[in-house]
Order: sequence, then C-alpha cells, then structure tokens
Amino acid sequence: MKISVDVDAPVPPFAQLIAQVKAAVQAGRIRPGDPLPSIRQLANDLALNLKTVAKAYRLLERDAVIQTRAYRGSFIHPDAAANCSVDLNELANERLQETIAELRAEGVTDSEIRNAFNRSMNGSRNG
Amino acid sequence: MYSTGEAIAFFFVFLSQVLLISWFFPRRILSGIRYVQHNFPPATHPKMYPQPVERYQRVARNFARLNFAAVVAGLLILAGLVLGTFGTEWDGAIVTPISSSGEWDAAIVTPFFIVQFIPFVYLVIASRGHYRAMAKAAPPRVRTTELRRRRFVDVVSPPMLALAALIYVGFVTFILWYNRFGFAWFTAFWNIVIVTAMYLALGASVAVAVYGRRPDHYQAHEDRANLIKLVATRALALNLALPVLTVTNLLIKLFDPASSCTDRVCPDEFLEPVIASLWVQAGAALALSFFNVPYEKTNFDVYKQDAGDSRADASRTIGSTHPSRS
Repeated sequence: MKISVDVDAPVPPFAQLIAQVKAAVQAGRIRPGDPLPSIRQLANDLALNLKTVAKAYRLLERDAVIQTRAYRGSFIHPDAAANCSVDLNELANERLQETIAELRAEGVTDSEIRNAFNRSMNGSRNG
Repeated sequence: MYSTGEAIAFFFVFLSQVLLISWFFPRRILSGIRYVQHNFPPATHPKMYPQPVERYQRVARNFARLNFAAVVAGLLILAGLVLGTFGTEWDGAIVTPISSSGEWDAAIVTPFFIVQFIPFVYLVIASRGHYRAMAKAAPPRVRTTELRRRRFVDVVSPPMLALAALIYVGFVTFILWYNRFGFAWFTAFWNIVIVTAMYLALGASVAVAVYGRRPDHYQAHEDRANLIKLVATRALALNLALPVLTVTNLLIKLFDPASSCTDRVCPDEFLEPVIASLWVQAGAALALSFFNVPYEKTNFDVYKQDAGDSRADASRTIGSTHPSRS
C-alpha cells in the first residue's frame, strides 16, 4: 500500500500519515496484525524527520489504531477498524464548540473565553 | 614447463578472459549508460543529473578508454606468449617479483585480472560522487513510499539463507579436510578469510540496501524495491558461487588427471592457468552482474522537472484518505 506526504500541504506531515493509515485500515487495505515499517524506515523513505514519524506513530498508538511490541515493531491494532472512527481531534473540536456556544449565550465575550481557555490550559499543564 | 596442448588451451581461455571482462561487460555497461543519456537527457530529466552532464560523459569516456587499454595490453601479452611458445625455445616460465614459480596463473592470470578490474573500480568511485550529489539534492515536495516493513528475509528467502550457511560450513570443513593433503595452513587460512570476508561484505551491502538511507530521493519506490531485490539476489549468488568455485578448483588439483610428472607436465601444474582464468571469468561475471540494471523497466518520469511537485498528485492521495468524521 502506497503512502504519500506533501510537505507543502496545509495539513502537517504527521497528520497526513495518521489520516492515510486510518483510511487504509478503514478501507481494509491493511488488516489487524499487519506489520508497519519502522519509524526509521518510514522517515528515511519519505525524507522526513524521525520525530515527525514518531509523533504520528505515538498518536496512532494513543488512538489504539496501532500497537507497538517491544523489539518486534509496530502492528495494526486488533480493534483498529473500530477505533479509526473515533477521531479525538474532532471530539475535542466539538466539545469546545459546544462550550463556546454556551458561554456566548450567557454573554461571555470572545476575549474572555480566550483568556479563560489559556488560563485553564496553563493551569492544567502546571497542575 | 607447459605442454603445447595446455599452452594452446590457455591461449584460448586467456583470450576469452581479455574479451569477456574488458570488452563484453564494459560494452554492455556503456550501452546502458548511452541508452539512459540518449533517451532521458538532462533537458527533459534534469533531476537525474545532479552534476554537469560533461562529467558523466567524461566518466563514460574514461571507462571506455581504460577498458580499451586493458584489451590492447591483454592481446599484447597473448601475442608475446604465442610467439614465445611457438617461435623460440622458451619453456614458458615467467619469473616476476610476485611470482617466483614462473607459472602463468600467478604471473599472468591474477595480475591481469586485477588490471582488468581497475576500470570498474574507477566507475564505482565516479558513481559515488553522483550518489552523494543525489543525496544532497532537495527531496521532492510530494514523497511516496510503500507502507510495508522491509526485512532482510523479504529479499532473501530463508531457505536460500540456510543454503548459503550450509555451503559456508561445508566449505570450511572441506578446506580443513583438504589440509591433510599437504595444503599449506597459510593458504587454507587465506581461503577461509577471503570467503568469510566476501560473505560479510555482501551481507553488509544487502543490509545497507534494505535498512539504509535512500540513496536517491526521486527514485520510484517500485524501482528501489526492484534494485534491493537485484542486489540481494546477486550478492547471494556470489556468496553461493564463490565457495563452490574455490572447492571445485581445489578438487581438480586433488584429482588431477595427470598421474605422473613427465619432463614437461607436472601434476601440480596441469591446467592450473586454464582453471585459474576460468575461475576469474566466472567470478567477474557474477560480480559485474551488479552493474546490469534493467533500464527498460525503470521509471524515469520521476526525474522530470515537475515530477513530485504536482499539487494535484498529492491532494489526490491525501484528500482521498481522510478518515470519515462520524
């Protein structure tokens, strides 16, 4: 299965990798248990930074689309097809939009929402 | 020192060594270079020429000249041997600083084989500059590869690896057994060292091809996969053939058809120059098969000016693969 990355596209390369792996799983082009190339191999082949590919793999692992076994490499997760439909980015987006809409309805201004969001993010990072 | 029959056999085999290694193989390599330069010139495929085109032409010209010089030198040596054998009372011994025995295999075949390999070494060194320049070139905007793990066993099948290991063990056992027949330990040691070094070097070259960096950012991934397979297959063939050729060579010496030493033919020397020349020809045929790239099947479109920069190509792949947002 081919995988392509356009380094000038508005979507960052790691997100392009994630999207294509998920699409391949959903289309059945790669199946549970199939081995994935190593981070180094994919980074070399696509002339990308190791950290970019590692980030894509980390996020795919977080979403339980792939699983990494020690010394054996990365494989497609047994429940990958079901987990691909869960888009955590989209979920975060939806929740935030709902919260913003509620706050606006109560008369909170955009700059107050922005400040509150930044404070909450900094607070959760420090706490 | 050599019988007339043996001398004549050697002349033909040596002529074949001269023509095969310095004329036939270089001609094939040069015709491949010319095919690429003629059909995919820098004007239409600039990404394939990271260095000035004159440099590629000069390298090809020098390679042709070096081989021509080797052919002339080989034919002169052959003419000298023929004239010396049939025109004078000479017994055929050629004593040089590297061959005190005067035998033709040590005095002619091996040194001339090394001379014949100089043009190929020159070509390899010259292509290193090309690949270095290719690696430094900016990668294309749109990069494509196969989402498949590449492993050593994908290009070399496990049964063939097992066969190579068996042949190696058999070779070492044979050399140690052969030693009982008065084979010098020094020679046995060097035979094992050379074959082991070849195994390691060829194994390393396959490992670099499989796991190493991409030498050419523009090369189509199908071509790269084919090239890796080609390198692996030929390295394996060379690894299988080298011990077999060496063992065959030693077996012929052991079961020499000449049972007694006459005034001109001694069992230790019978046909040795002929066998040595055939051995280097077989080795060269295997080693030079690495240069035999199937250009007709190669995708040269990737080296065109606008290749890999088409936004349409990229969006077709990326856009169509976004997960559905449920």
